[in-house]
Order: sequence, then structure tokens, then C-alpha cells
Amino acid sequence: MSPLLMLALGLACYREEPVDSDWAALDGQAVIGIANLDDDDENEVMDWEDLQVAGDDDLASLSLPALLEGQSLSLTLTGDAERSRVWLDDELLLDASTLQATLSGPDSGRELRVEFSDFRVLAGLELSLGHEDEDGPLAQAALSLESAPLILNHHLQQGEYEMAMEYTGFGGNSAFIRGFEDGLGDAFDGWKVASYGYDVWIQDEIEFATQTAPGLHMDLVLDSIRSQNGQYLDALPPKLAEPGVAVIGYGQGRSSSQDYFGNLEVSPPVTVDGVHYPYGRAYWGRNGTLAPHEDLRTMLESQQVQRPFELDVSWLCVGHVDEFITFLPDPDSDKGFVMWVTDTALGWDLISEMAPETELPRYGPTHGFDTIGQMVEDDELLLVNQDLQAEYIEPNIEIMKQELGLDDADIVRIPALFEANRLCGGYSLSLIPGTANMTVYPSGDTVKAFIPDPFLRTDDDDLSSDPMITIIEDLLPSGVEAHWLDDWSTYHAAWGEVHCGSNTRRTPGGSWWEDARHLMGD
Amino acid sequence: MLITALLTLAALAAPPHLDALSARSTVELDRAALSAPTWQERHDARVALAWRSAPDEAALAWEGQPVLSRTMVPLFTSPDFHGPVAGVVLVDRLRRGGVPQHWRGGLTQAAVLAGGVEAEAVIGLFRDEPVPEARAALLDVLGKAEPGLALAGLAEAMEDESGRVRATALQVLAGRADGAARADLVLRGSSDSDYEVRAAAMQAIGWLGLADLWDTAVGGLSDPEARVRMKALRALERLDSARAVSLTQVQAMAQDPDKSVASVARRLLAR
Repeated sequence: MSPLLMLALGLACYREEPVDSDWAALDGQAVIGIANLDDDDENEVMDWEDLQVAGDDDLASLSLPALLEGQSLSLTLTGDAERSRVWLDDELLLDASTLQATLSGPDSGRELRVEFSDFRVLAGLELSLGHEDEDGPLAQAALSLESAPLILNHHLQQGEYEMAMEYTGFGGNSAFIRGFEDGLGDAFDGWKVASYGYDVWIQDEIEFATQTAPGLHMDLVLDSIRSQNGQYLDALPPKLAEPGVAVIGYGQGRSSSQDYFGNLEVSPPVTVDGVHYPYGRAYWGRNGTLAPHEDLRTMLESQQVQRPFELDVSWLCVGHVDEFITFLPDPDSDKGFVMWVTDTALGWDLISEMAPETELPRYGPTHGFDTIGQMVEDDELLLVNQDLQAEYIEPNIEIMKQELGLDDADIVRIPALFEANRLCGGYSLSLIPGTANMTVYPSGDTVKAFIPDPFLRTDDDDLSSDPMITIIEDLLPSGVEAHWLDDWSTYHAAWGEVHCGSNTRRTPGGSWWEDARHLMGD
Repeated sequence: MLITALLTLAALAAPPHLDALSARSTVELDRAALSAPTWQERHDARVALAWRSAPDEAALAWEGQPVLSRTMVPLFTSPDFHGPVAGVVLVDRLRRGGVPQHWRGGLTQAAVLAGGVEAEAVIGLFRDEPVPEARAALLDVLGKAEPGLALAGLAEAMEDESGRVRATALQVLAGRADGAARADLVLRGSSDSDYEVRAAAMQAIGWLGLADLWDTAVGGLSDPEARVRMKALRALERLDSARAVSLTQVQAMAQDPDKSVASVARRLLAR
């Protein structure tokens, strides 16, 4: 092999005779791993903090060629050494306090293991092969050590299981739970809410994510700062914190509603101005100075693969992006999905076309409207909804179009009405249960959509008499199966809907190190 | 019959302040509910009648507990808190029941939704109510009350120490067909120290079609708060969109730092 060719391979060679090509092949390689944030040995110490890796299956491996008699290998850890370590078998070899080590031959080849403490860590490992009879190195190689980004899930990913909090007895949510059980069977878990301070808002407390590397995968549970110190759902149901799952949080202190994870969503994969986002783009809502905690935003932005953007939720009482926008798989659309967004003009048209004398038994106690006529005659309600659409929903649609490369054909407008709530400073809550706030659960070739029952009818049991249900079912993409859930008393009346009260673990997919490199400006 | 009713009342632990009323006949109570000299006495009679006619419902409304909203606001939205019986009992609870402060907003809203707050009682309740959210919720009743009572009540609410209450007063005024009669309140709100009140004033200019306050709305376009600028822009659009488009301030708003405001301005200019 000529020196020029060897240089082209990235191997700096100082001897005329060839060296083992295995060493040459190491140069320029990337060792890709994941952050060791779980607690495999269940000793209540995060594995990175444990300083022992025996039996830990979350480290990336690097096989070294055999060292011959008289050979030595110098190893140097470079770059972000504070957040990376190199282990030789189960012995710590390199870290921030020991940046260099030497191995002596002969051996039959050794296995290095690389550990990271965080996502998107970039470090390096320099190898220099020497011989006791030679002054200079026989070969040198530089490898990159890299940890995976955190990737949030989107609605096109297959569901693995669904969860909600079960509130039995009088005034409970048995109809809501039954709806999920009927639709998903064993793929649904209902957990007793009494064990969690009667906190039913499981969407707000946790956000599922994953980190993957070749041969490695870890499920992540982002734990919101909305409740802390084990209060309410902060004491996570055991299934969510099982070994092999990392529970992580960002930020501390007093939270705002914008810290709740109903306010953190991800689009399906999109191409924007020629840039493909194979894992979609993250988005959250901002209400003036209030947004998800800066630590969380900084972390999500630094992942790069799902480059986040913001919507304006300043018009909403609770202030979450899932209150008015969602995404559904659609095999008939160009992009493979459609964006559903609320449209109050359609909502007003809907109630205007209904018989005014239609009684609405659900709406009286919660909203003060006993009939459709009372709604239609409420001039303030009309004005409020006209303003919301013009002032906030349409501008948010514009942002979604721009940030996700969508056009009108990708957007389905669904009827909706909001009301100004005096307990919330006149800011808006759903009047008709917000059907955009649905849970989308792809399962095999079908998609199950668990949608808040609008109860825009007199007879609870006669869904066919509900014009809202008819409209929504007509709008659903092919292959999407509607499951209408009664979320009224536990969720809708308490300022949330189906999505707010449920959560979905999804199957990760893709290989970011192959399909998202163009998004990482490292 | 009366004895049975009294026994039931006692068994359901009716509040002690009803003891005196319980001895009066239904006819007397009916008469008092209509013609007693003060709203408090009329309401007392209605409460006694409620307990007598539907003791179970009354007890549920008297003793019912709130549920917490998603943002931890205590709410009384169960059907137990709906209907005329619940309505008058909830108001009674607010007047006498030792309700925790943080429940009062939700309880007031439930009473209003149940139709338990008579327009005549709003002012009295309003003056005695310590919690701003509850005072704001009371104002909803004035949205559909007769003009004299409503407009006077909203004017009084504009003197409230809480910006939230003042803003609600303007929102309610803006929703009334006769709200333009108190354009003076809108004008005052437009220079309020609380931006929510200024935003409500801008909204009222548009909703009520207060063309005389055109310049006031133009002034709102340069407010430091985006919500005020938004409402001012929309007020001008509602008043005269062609004239609004010709304003240099509106043209500049296409580059407003707030994305929503800029988007609305661009859409207006594109017409």
C-alpha cells in the first residue's frame, strides 16, 4: 500500500512496510452510543453515576485489533470528556480525570466500552499504535465518540400501549376507561388514580421519547416539572419507570401551564424548503413570557433532529398546543398525514343549522347552555369565536404551514367552539369538547382515534343524532377508526379532553445516524 | 306536611340560619320571595323554599365539594350544582357558608350558570365579595340583565381595584347590544394601567362599533402589549377596514414583533 493511499484512508503511516489493516480501518470511525441514564441494577442511582458497568447493556462497544508482542497502544480521550467515559471490559480506562492510558501487548484483541452521560455528546478517541523497537508510531487513528439525540414520538408511530388514570366509583371515569379498553384490549393500562393524588392528567406529566444507536435502544420518560417531589403523578406508575427506562427531567421551581406536556407535541416527518425532518419537528406553545422551562427548551433545541418552533397559546385558558391542533395518518394524502385544526366558523355554522330547541343536557351545568338556541342567541359567544379564529388560530395555522412546509391540502378544518371563562381572566376553553384533542393510536394497518364525545345532542346514547359526530367521522382519513369517549365530567369540565388524560408509548423507528445527519451541524 | 318537611330539613342538616324561616308557611315564603323589601330577604325566602321543595338537591348543593381543574382551580361543575334549587342554595352558601377563599370563584361561577344569581343581587354580592375571580364571575349575570341595572353595575365594576374585574366589566359591556351607551367606560379603560383592561377596551370599541373612539383604537396600535395591539387592530378592522389599511401604523404592523399580530396585519393588508 502506498503512503498516499494510506493517507487517503486517513491513516498516518510512518513506516514503509504495511501495518495491520484492522488498525487502519478504525480511523474516522464513529462510535455511536446512548446516554446511560437508566437504572439497570435498580439501586436508585442512575447508571452513569454508579461508576460500574458490569452487566450494563447501554454502552457502545469498540473492538480493538490484537496487540502483538512488543506493541503498545496509547489512547487519548478528547472533546467532551466530562460527559463520556471509556471502559476496558469492566474497568474504567479513560474519563475527565484520566485522559490518557496505554495498553501493552500481546493480547488477542480487547473490547472497549463507551459510556455517555447525556444526549448529543461529542468526544473523540485518539489511538496511537507503537512498538518498543520503534521511535515513532506504527499507526494512528482518530475515532469520534457520539451519543444519540433524544427523539420525541409523533402520531404516525405505531402504538405499543396506551394509558390513563382510572377513577372508579361515583363520579368516576369508567365510561372513558371502557372506551379505551374496548378499542385496545390488553394494549391499554388503567392505573388507579387514588394512588396518585387523583391526578388524571397523565399527558401533562410525562412525554415519551427514545434514544437509539446501532444495537442500542432506551425508552425515555420526560417527567414534567408540573408536579414534583413525588406529588400526584410525579410518583410515576411503576410500569413507566421499569429497569431499562430512563426517567429524566429538565428545570426546577414553580411551573406554569406551559410546562405541561400537553403543550409539547411533534409533527410527523416533513420536508421544509428542501430539508427533510425524518422524525418530524417539535413544537410548543408560548404565552407571552411563559413557555416550557428554559432548560427543557435548550435541551430540545440542542438535539437538532426535530428542530423546535413555537405557537401562540396566549389566547387559551390552559394554553396547550394540543387544544386546537393534531395530526392523523392519512394514506391518501401526499405527505402521508393531515393536520387537523379547529375552525370556529364551522362550529358556528354547525350550531346555527341545528334546531334551536335541541336540548343539551350535558351543557347546562358546565356551560350554562340548556339548548342550542341559547348558544346561537349568545352574541358575545359569536364575537369571541370570530376573534379567536382571526386573531390566533389563523396565525397559528400560518406558522404551521411555514414551519412544516404544509399547504391547504394538508389541513383539515374541524368545527369547534370556545368560550371565554371568567375564572380564567376571560381566556378560552373548549365549549364543545375539543375533538382535536384526540389520542391517535396506529395499530397495524388501522389507526384508532379516541375522540372526545361532543354530546351535541339530547340523548346521550344516540350518537347517530349528533351532527358533530357525523361531520367528524366524514372527515376522518380512510383507515382511521373513531372511538367516541365520554370525557365530560372528569376531563372536559375540568378544562381538558381525551388527549390530556391519556398517553401513548410508541415504537421508535429509523436510524438517525443515517437519515438525520444533515440536520446536525456539528 | 309542614312537619314532615321540617323533619326532612333537619335530617339533611339545613344551615341553622334557616331555622326562623322554616317556621313560616309556604305561602308566606312565596310572598316574601317576591316582595320582601330587600334582595337579601327575598333571597332568604327562596332558599327556604328550595330546601322545602327539594331537600336532597339543596343538601347536595350546600355540601358539595369542588373538583380541581387541570390547572388546580376548584370547580363546581357537577350536575349537582345545576338547576334553580342549586342556584339559590349556592348563593346562600357564598353569603353564609364559610366558603374557603379559593373556592369562591368556582362556586360563584356555578351559581351564575345555575341561574341562581338574580340580577338584583349582583351588586350586593359584588360589594361583599372578597375574591376578584368571584366578582368577575358575577358580572356575567349583567350581560343579559335589564339595561339600567346592568350598565350601572358595570360602571361600578370599572371602579374595582382588580384589573381582572375591570377587564371583565368591559368584556360584558362589549357583549351587550346597548353597551355603546357607556362608551365613556370604554374610553376610560383604554388608558388603564392594566393591559388586560386596555385590551378589553380595544375589543369593546370593535364589538360595539364605537366609531367616535377611532383615534383611541389607533393609539392602541402602539401599546407595548401585543394583546392590546391585536385588539386595537381588530377594532379598526371592524370599524372600517379600508380606512384601517391606509394607516401607516397598520402597514408597519406587518412586521410586528408578535407573530400573531403581524399575521393579522398582513392578512388585513392583503385584502
